[in-house]
Amino acid sequence: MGLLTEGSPLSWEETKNLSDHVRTHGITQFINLYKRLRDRQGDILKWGDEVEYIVVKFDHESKTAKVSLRAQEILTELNQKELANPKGVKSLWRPEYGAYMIEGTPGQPYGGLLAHFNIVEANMRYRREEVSQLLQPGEAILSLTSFPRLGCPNFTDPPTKPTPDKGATRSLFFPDEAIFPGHPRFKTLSRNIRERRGEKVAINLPIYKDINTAIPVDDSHLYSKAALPDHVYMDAMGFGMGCCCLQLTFQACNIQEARTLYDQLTPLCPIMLALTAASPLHRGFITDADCRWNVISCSVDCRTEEERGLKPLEENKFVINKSRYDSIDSYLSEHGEKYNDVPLVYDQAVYDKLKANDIDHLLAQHIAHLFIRDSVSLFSEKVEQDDEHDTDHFENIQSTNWQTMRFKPPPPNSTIGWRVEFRPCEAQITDFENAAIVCFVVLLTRVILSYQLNFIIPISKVDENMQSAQKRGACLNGKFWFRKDITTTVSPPEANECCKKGFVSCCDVYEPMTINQIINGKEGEFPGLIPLINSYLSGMDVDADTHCTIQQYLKFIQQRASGEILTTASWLRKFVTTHSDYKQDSKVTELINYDLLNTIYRIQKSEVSCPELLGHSVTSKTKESIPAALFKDVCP
Amino acid sequence: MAFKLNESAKNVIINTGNILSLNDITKKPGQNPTEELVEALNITIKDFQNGGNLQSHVEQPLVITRRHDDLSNKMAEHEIGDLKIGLKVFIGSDNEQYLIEALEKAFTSLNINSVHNVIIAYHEKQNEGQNDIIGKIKNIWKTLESYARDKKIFQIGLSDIEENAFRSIYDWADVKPSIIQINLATCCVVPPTLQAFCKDNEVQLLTHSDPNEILPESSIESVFGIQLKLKWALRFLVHIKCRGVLTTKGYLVSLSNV
Repeated sequence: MGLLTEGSPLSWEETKNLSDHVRTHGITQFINLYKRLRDRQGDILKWGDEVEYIVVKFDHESKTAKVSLRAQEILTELNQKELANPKGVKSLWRPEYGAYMIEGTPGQPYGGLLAHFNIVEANMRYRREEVSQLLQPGEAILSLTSFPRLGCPNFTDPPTKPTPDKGATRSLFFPDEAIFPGHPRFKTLSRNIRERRGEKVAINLPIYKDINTAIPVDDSHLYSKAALPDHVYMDAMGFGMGCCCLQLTFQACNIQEARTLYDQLTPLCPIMLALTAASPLHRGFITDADCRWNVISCSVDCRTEEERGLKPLEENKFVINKSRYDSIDSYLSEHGEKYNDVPLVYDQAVYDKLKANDIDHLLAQHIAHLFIRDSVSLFSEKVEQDDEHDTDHFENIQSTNWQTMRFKPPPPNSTIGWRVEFRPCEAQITDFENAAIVCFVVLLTRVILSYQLNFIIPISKVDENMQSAQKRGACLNGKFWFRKDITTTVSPPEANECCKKGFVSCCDVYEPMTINQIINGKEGEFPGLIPLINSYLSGMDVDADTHCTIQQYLKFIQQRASGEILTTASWLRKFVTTHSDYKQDSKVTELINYDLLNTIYRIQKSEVSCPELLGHSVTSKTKESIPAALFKDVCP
Repeated sequence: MAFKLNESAKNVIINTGNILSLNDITKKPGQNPTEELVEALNITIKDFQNGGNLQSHVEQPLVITRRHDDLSNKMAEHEIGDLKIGLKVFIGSDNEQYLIEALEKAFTSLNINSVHNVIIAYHEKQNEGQNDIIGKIKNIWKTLESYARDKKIFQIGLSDIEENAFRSIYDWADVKPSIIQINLATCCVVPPTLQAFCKDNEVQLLTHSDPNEILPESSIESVFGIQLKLKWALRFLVHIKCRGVLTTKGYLVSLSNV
């Protein structure tokens, strides 16, 4: 997301009345941009990461840790540097949903040299340091996916009170003051989603049942019929969109490659979600889930009862099986077409219009499917647009379909090409971990393209995997549908045993695998993603420092996958359940929360080591810039 | 199944073509380069025997290729200017003809006039003595320099060479080495002096994961059933510039029946 333009948000009634206007013009805008840019070729690899952070306020006297609602103040200072020197800054900062959150990205995208992998972590460190200089005594920034006591009494600094019967959110737990106040988009989204749905959002995460856990877990069910007694109930967009994620965007050389990467990375989304699992703690409780995904999905679920299939359709057009925040519903490349086994909901007229404008079936149904949603945030200044050149209405719908992957057309009037965004990963505690995850995923895209690998399985199986990925301990114990034979090139028949057994292609087999088998391989059966990356690297010109760094990242990921070290989620659980203040009652008390966040802060600062989380080798050779000898090479 | 070399062929060159398209190799990413090369040779020979022509002239080396190789298609998918082509020559003799044969064979096989870089891995068999390695590398280097002067090679470099030997060749050379390759196992413990030297002279310090001997006698015997002399082995790597994509990888191996 770029710097947000300010404006005057329309009410939900006004927005609703303009739904068809936004959709019609959005589709026209997409058709126009597609005509302009479909043949764009030859873009080089550029990519970047996005890390979200929480600003935490410690009180070491009373031993409490709260979210600090100062993101806007901090951002104003950070953005001033960017405005003064837009091309020269080493980092870019953007608001996020929470008034306690900020999002940081590198100032310039990384490029197609392997040496770029060696500057990722240094840039992440720089960003953290840059923000740290603007913090007040007691404040810290943490890249922690979920703040453990979000929505508990007095979880903010300064203190605020929820307002269940007025305001944008109307939550029992989450006050409007905890929503980023610097731009109207965030409160507007919260209000419109609630109003569109016809009631507050409802999130129920199963409680982790310990020996003294009380059921019902609290008295939420007395105030809300949506609350399930043996679940942690949450009722605000902030519980989901107030979580931190780790995202990646890469530029493809053309639209075809973007489609390939979109499809090939789709089956990897649940795998990466399980591997990066980091959010078992919500609203002061230990839950039985390890990841944030379903929380965010429910937190922005704007579907009405009719759309959720609870009532017959009268007002609405479609029954829709997923929230607008969920895993993708269809593949985009030819390879993927036959694996689109879930019927796609879309407006036939929109699809026909796209087809009539020479957009192929796969892309047309993808766009038409995105456009079953209403706009949930519209500004009066943006209603009337020039469909030849603007793309705001298209982006309005596109950017509020928050899916595991995002297929991104080039922005108008820019040098940027077709891009793909990878969105499932949870934020890790340290820069080392986040850099490792980011480099791993980008390396994987290079391996996919170099060896022309195929990871595609039926989209229904990816959906199943998304649910498996979030279960407690999934990284270690879960099984995931994964493709057995990931090679595609047709070898001479006699050299390819698999494909010659008959008419039905036996190469299409997928089977349940563990994360360890997928990442590290299974002797004689599956090569493993890390061995493939290493094989790829042996054919690349990699400088010694970069290769040393990458080796440490890959080793760390191998250990997470094999269970030699804990996932962030398992480590958080272990910390809480072995804390002296823990009463086996699934509760994260103020004191446990304080000690936990303080420990996280010290681990991140390398003041304490934590080999059970990070392994033994966590000092990479990361550096600020790329050596001159490597630049002499070829890339701009 | 051992390969039977025609009595009349004194020399044989095997071109594995693009091995990235060989699924059986892709599926075994844990193989070291020797294992990978042996498997690629076996696949190539098997494919060749199943339909290739074994006739050859005494003067010309027998060239063994795969019928289903997609090397030329792969090369044709991109503009030559978008590709970065690198060669690594594994050689154990300073016989100038060996290196020239290796480079020329690579140019014709890939259908190109120039490459981005050539790296030499010079390794003599133990029993042939270790005398004057630097002198022998210098002999080889002179051949490389002439290719570089003719703009057929853009960058030249050396693999697995002692720091002092590298410095002395650097000081002596007319066309300076711009790459030094070290074993991946040592990439986290590069001597600071070497690091500083590379930085000061803008030499690229790159990694490799090749064993000292890419194709040992025992491997040759397992592939061919008889002992042949390895004249040189060459690996070609074709990258798409600025995209981090490896598009083609393969080996050329030259053996003689003496």
